Amino acid sequence: MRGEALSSWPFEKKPMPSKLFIEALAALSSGDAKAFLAFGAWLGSMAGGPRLVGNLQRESHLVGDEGFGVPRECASFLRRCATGHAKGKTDRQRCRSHAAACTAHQLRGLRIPRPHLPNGLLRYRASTRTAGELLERMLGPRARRFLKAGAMDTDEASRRLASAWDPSKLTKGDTLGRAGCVFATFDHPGGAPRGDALDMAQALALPAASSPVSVDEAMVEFSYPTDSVRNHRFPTVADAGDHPLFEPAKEIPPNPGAPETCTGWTRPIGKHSPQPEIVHRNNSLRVLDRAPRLVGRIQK
Amino acid sequence: MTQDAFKPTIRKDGTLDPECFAQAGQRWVTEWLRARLSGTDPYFPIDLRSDEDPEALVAGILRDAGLVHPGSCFIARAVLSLLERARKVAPRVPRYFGSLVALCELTPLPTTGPWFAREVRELAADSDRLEKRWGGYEQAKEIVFAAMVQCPGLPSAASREAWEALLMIPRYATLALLAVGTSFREEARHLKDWWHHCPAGDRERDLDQMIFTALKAHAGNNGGTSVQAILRCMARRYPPDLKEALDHALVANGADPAFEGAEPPYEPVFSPVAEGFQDSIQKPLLLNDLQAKQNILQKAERLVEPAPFTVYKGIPLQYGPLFTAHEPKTAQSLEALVPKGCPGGKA
Repeated sequence: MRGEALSSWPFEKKPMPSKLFIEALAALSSGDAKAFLAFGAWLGSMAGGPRLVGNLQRESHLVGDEGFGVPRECASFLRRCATGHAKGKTDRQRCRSHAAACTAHQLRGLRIPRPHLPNGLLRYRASTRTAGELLERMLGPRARRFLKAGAMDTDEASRRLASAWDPSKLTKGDTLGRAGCVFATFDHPGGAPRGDALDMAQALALPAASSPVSVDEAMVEFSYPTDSVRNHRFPTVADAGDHPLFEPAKEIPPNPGAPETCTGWTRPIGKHSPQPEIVHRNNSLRVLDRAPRLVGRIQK
Repeated sequence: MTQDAFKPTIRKDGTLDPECFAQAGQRWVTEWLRARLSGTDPYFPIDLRSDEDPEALVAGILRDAGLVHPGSCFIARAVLSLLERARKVAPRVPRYFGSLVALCELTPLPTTGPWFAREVRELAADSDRLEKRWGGYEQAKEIVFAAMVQCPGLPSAASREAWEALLMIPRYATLALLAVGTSFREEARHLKDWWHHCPAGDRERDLDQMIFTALKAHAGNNGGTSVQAILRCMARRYPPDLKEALDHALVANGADPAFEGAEPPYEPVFSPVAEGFQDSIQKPLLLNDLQAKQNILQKAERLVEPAPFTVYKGIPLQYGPLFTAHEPKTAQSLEALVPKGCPGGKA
């Protein structure tokens, strides 16, 4: 029933389970496997549940520090989901235990060798709060207030932010993301609509692009050297948490000759082409190689 | 938060029907809001990939439904309840509090004004104590940002006095100026106090941003001239270094200076009516007595504490309708009293 809120999203009807998932499931004890089935049934009843379950079944890169196709890490994740769910008595407790399982297995996707990545990464945050904090830091509280009140044009704000950009004013809390694990993308031959916030949100399959309520969010772009962040990995269902718009990477071993196999890819909303997607460890905004850019406002 | 307690209702056009919140009841809405703002929402999952602001969806619901919708009323009451809860457990800051205050910064709510007004009053009275209660300056500052939206320092507002007192505390001076400055004209009135109390290191940056936004806001109304005219009205109050800094900011933003090269007197002659004068002024105005009106305006001219106000055909805006309603020709004749080049005067 909870899927009603997300009824317009593309759900998986019959996902093909990955070999990794099947082997991980087979590695569980019969008690854990039974608990996992109960967890799966519960997860399927969540908002976007069918796709969450589908994503879990298609997960193929949750291998930790082992090689492609080794199911140990994935089995550990499934076990943690199952036992946490079994202990929970209410939905809230079950949500929390699922979130805890995801957090415990963040940044445990297959490692991406550095040569498989370009020299620069891009990160997009659909967060007016983030944009406001950056403006406040560099231009003062007035800029933040006017941005939040919708009284400041994002192009103009972006220009002023660039001219006032001074990394020495950043604080310890000014980081690429709020959590330890950060999603990133990069320039690729398929291109991306980087000049339009709504188009970019659709290409990255962000919830603001398909929200059931009106949206007015500022989008910020961070650009930084790939070498300035550590632990580059394939994104997995554990990194994405309970958000169903995530798309697991296809179960194909990485091959530098086929760049599309070397990272995850988004499943865009609408007509846009998929965007490469990786995760890495969070870091300070001091690593940026240029001032953050306000892409615009996602308004719909 | 059981499965049967809540069913998000999606309309045929794909939008959320806020009625579902009204049907869920106050208790459920409060707990849902607390959980969502803490980062967990099984009904509208929060996207970790892009660091979705949990409060953004709530602001969208309020925007779509309007503040009088029963669903919005439940949400507004839930916000107040969570604020109260946070105050009780302070200095421990609940996980939801950052997003809750951020929500209050995004959208005015009908229930929260008194809560924020109390915080501003206490901050103005003893900023160290309030900061200690909330665990430091950063958290207190976030509350002040939200207070600007929930209890702005309008001239008639009960919180006005507290905001004006906050203007005297250096680390809050710019925030207080934003709260009392409901227009650039209002800000200009308080600029001298702000200049005096704002930390020296922030003055130039904040003044530059103020002039930038003022020029933008007045862009459709002969931008630079209008901003400069408002500043000139205040010239007598401003110290020389403030005038110099204002001119510098104007030039940096591509406008002409307001003071440099301008010959005094370049400010309008009229001052606002001091407290207690109002009755004695309104009476002759209503009597349609031209001589009395002129005397009043001449008296106003001599008041030593000028403040900005609009001149309408030579008459302060607040009395313009009285003049024009009773004797339009008088208004015309009084135009001559306004110095050349001042707002409302001859070009």
